[in-house]
Amino acid sequence: MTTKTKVDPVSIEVVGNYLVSAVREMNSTLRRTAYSTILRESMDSSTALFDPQGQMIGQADHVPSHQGSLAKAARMVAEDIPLDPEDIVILNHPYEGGTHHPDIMIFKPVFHDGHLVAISAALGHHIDVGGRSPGSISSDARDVFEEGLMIPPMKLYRKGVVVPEILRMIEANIRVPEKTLGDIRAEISAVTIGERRYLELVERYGREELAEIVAGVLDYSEDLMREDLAKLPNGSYSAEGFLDSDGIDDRPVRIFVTVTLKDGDVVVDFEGTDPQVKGPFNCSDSSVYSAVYAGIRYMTNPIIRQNEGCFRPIEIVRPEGTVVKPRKPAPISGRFTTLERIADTIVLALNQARGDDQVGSSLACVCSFAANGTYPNSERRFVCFEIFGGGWGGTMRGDGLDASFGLMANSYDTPIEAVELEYPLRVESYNMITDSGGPGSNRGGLGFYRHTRYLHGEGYYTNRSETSKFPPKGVLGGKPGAPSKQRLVRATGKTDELPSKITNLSIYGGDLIWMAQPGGGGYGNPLDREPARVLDDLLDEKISPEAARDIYGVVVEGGAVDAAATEARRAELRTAA
Amino acid sequence: MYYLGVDTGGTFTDFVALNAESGEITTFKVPSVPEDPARAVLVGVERLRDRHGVEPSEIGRFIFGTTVATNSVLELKGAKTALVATKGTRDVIEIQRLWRSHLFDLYIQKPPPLVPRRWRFEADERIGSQGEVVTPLTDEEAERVARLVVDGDFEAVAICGLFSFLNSSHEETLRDAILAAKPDALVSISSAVSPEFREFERATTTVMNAYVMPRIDRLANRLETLLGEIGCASQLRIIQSNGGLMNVATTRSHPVRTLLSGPAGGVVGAVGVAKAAGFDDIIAMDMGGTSLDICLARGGEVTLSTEGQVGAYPVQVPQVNVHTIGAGGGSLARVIRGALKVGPESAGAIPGPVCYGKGGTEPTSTDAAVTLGYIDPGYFVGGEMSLDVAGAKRAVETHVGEPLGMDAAEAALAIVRVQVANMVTGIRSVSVEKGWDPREFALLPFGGAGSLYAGLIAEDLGITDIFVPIQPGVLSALGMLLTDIKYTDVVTRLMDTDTASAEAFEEIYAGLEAKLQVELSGEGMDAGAIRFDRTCDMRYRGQAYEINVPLPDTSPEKLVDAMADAFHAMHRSMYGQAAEGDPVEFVNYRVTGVGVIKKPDLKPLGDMAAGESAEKGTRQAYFPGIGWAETPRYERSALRPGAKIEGPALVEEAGATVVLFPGHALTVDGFGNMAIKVQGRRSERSAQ
Repeated sequence: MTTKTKVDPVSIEVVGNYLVSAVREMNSTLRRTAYSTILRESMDSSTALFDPQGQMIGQADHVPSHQGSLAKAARMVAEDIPLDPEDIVILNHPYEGGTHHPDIMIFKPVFHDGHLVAISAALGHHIDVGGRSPGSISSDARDVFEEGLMIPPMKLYRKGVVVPEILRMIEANIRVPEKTLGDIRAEISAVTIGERRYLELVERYGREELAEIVAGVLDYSEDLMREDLAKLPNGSYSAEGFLDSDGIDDRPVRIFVTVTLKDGDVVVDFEGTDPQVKGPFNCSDSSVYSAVYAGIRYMTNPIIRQNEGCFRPIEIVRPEGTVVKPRKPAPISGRFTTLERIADTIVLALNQARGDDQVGSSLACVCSFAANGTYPNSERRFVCFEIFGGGWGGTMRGDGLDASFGLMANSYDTPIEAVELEYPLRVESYNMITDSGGPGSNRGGLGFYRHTRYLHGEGYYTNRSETSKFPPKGVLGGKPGAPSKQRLVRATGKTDELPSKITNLSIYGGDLIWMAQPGGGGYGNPLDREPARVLDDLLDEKISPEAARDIYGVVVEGGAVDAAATEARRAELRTAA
Repeated sequence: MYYLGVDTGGTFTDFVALNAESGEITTFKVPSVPEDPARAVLVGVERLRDRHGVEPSEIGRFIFGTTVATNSVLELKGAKTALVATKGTRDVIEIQRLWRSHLFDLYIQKPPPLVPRRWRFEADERIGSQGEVVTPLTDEEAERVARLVVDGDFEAVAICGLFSFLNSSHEETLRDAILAAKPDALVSISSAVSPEFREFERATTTVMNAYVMPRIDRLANRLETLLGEIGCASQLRIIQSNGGLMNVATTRSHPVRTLLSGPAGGVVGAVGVAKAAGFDDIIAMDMGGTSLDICLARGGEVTLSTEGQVGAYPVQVPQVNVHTIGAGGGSLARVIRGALKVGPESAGAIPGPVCYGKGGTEPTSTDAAVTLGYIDPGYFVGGEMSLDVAGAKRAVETHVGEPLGMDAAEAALAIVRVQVANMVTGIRSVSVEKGWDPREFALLPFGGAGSLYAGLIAEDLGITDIFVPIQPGVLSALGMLLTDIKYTDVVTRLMDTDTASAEAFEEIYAGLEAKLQVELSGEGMDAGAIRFDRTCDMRYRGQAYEINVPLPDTSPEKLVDAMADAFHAMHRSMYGQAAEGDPVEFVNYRVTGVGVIKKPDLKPLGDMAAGESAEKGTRQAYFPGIGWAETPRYERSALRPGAKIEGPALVEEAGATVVLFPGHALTVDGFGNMAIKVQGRRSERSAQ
């Protein structure tokens, strides 16, 4: 822990808010200048500012998994790389600070009068970085070399001068360089805006005074974190969660966590987690950190400003050679599903410390799919990559969020019209799924369909999904949410049921990529749900008439609840249970 | 002849009547009647006749601003609305692009869809990405959907089909089928309301149009009938979100364009008076009890955006770029774990700040200002209310001073500083975040509380000029009289630097202008009074967000290159890099047709007579850097052109006080506006 300096509370608010607004501006710059749909429409990107030691000092409401990851990588950049003014550092190497291959990080040191005052950082998910499958998210890679181009930390710009050979090297190894090189420029825009904004702050306060205030901003977040964590009863709480498979061997992968709380300090221990797996569902260092930071952060007040101070109360223990601390060159590109599972498992473990204030399991995955091919009447090639979510768990306070990204993500969908303008694809359904939310007195959120027709020619389809065998759990009598389902409906009408992970399946014009995203787990006994809310769900087709009658025990006649019949039906169902 | 501007707010309806010949202004407020806003208009018009001798027949121009649509959306009290969407997409408006507004919240909820799922229907039809028909809409299908909608007894209907902005035929067929079954149905189609790419944003905008349509329709009918009955000769004009005026027919079909009618009026008023006084580049800030509306104007023109938001919902119509944050006079100051927070929670009107004596116990930003001596406790709202200074001071001391180890004055100043920082963050988001340097703008405060803080905000942002306009209390209504008729139109056609030509541009722009010319002529505008502004949305090939570039003034052979150069330069300035060698795309061609209306001349004030003085004694007030000082007070209404005041000083008028900080100097212009020169930036240390 750092020695606390006494900084006036006004400056903490002023500078803390400024940093948030600067980082938000960085990410909006990235979006506005980006080229690929995954960045400009979905905003699968994050930005942050760091102090010269690599401590995260500001970030905004973007992808949680990126934020912890950037924090880990920035520290490495700060410690290991001698930085000069106007340098720009690039990296994606998963064993040297990166998360997985498609996430390219860009760092720009911020100098004032020859002194390093901050590091401005951006992370963007790129549509393709080479490797064995278009989109670079193969679900069955055997090692990191199959997964795409790896860039160890290196200077893309030296003192303001670009090193063109690096860009040529990247260009030669990826499938759609015109998108990716443009997106790297967008990341450079973002870090340049971050540099400008931080220098304005230095001008205003002076270097040394600002450093003191920033230290105070971090300490303040740390204090609030500890205060919230100390409200939970001391003790050790364990839970397990499973991935459907590792993408190669068809057997579940176990995540086991023990969270120990002591007066505001937290230790998260992964003893009991499975050994590293063959397929790409191992987690790089920075990914594990991000999952733990986020899982614990969900136990505290959302208004706390997210920065290094939020990480300080947390210690992480990982046995060597496990899914959460694999040895190089274990493959890692599917790590997002694992870290969603880690965050969800931490939430489930801490449910035991929360009395009635528990939370149903969320979708716990980011489903992504990639497809490639050529445009009609052209040799031009495309790679499409999209990400999806599902429903959240019900809580003591209300129903889980319908159709959202998981705990570790926050992006946008790609609009149907953006998909169809950009690619020879057609999205035929994007609606929520009746009965997919886990029943409960507070229901789990609904999952949704996303059915995409592959219109032309031929190519490969890769899917990295989850939650098909282990549907999101309910709590305190709540029922599980609906699992995910994946199918391929061939142009001939033949339907193939697919596992949740599939790599480079040949697809042809007219085939339909059929996906059902999972719902969240329910909270509390569905027989306790107010009949009026059951009726609302029924009228909105969020539940079926069968579910209303047989799971919620609500009898509806002529568009209204029959109170007496409902009471009888509920008594009957309670006895049967 | 008189020009009459009427601004309907939630509490008061403001009237500004201007004598076109003499330039004299009459202003007053009457209580609003939320259930029938036209009643307040009638009361005002009668008062104008009875007390001011203005006959309705003398009103040559009647301009109306309203928050009816805004409040329907904010309070979720719009019409029972149905949505018809392309098969497979009815949930797009509820999925809301999967995004959540903040992180790390297990209990988070999305804003409720304005149309619940049970009222959303799908039509089996589809248009493709080239505008081609993928699935034809059969007559039977259109009739089936129409029956569902008609049987559901809806007050309004929204229709949003995929790619209707490229081919509107299916939407039109569905609309016609509904009208055939129910001729008086109110139907909005997305291709007419918001013909732009991205289905969620377009559908939401269309739904909002339908959602507010019945109320706006009733209001327009009432007003037209009313004007006829009282013998008012003027056509009714309504101020729209883009700051321009529109006629009643357009208001009826596009009520979503009135969603920002209220703030647009204020902004246009602010820009109008500032421009007349020689300030073309301004940042206007309207601060009331609970919120702060911020807007940036360049070259005397308000910047427009099509990415606005009302409540939690995106609205894709051109609107003045107003950014609203939760910072007002009622913002609560709280110490949480040793750090001071101000807002966004507000004490509201009830109980209000502690100094109102209506039961408030937690200190607000107004209580801080009272503690610092900035507000005359006996002259609040022109003396209609007296303030409890001791109560305010005690609250500041107890809730902020004691936990932070400060005395009441230091604590009050700390509250002001945090609030100023919040406001500065808001101003940054409309300036620096959009690529504008606030130091090149004058700050224009209006509303009750803005002028208390403008001096400190200007120091923080490095702004050197503050402009405090006349009539800050009814600026919106005044602004309507300074507004032109404004219609914008857009064509989307993709070209790039290789395929574009000046001839192709000319064809597009000339076509748009011919169309607008017809509309503006229909408004009775002479050709000579019509002006067209051409801009183009441009991007690098592959990007999805454009920069709006005004067409450079150059010869046809140089036009394409000059546009590309202008784009590269703007990209570099806004985003820190440009790719000069890369192809640039031209996407949307926009023309704004402005029917320039003859503006009334405001009447200049007379000079100050010898021996006259606006000074009215002194009061103890506390300033950063110098502490308590015996501070001279001035009555604004007695200030005459040419008057000069050095800070520290307080300039008071009914409803607002200008705090002139040490080192700032104020002068009064010929119309009574005040211009303040801010002398450099105070260092952060000495400000404590």
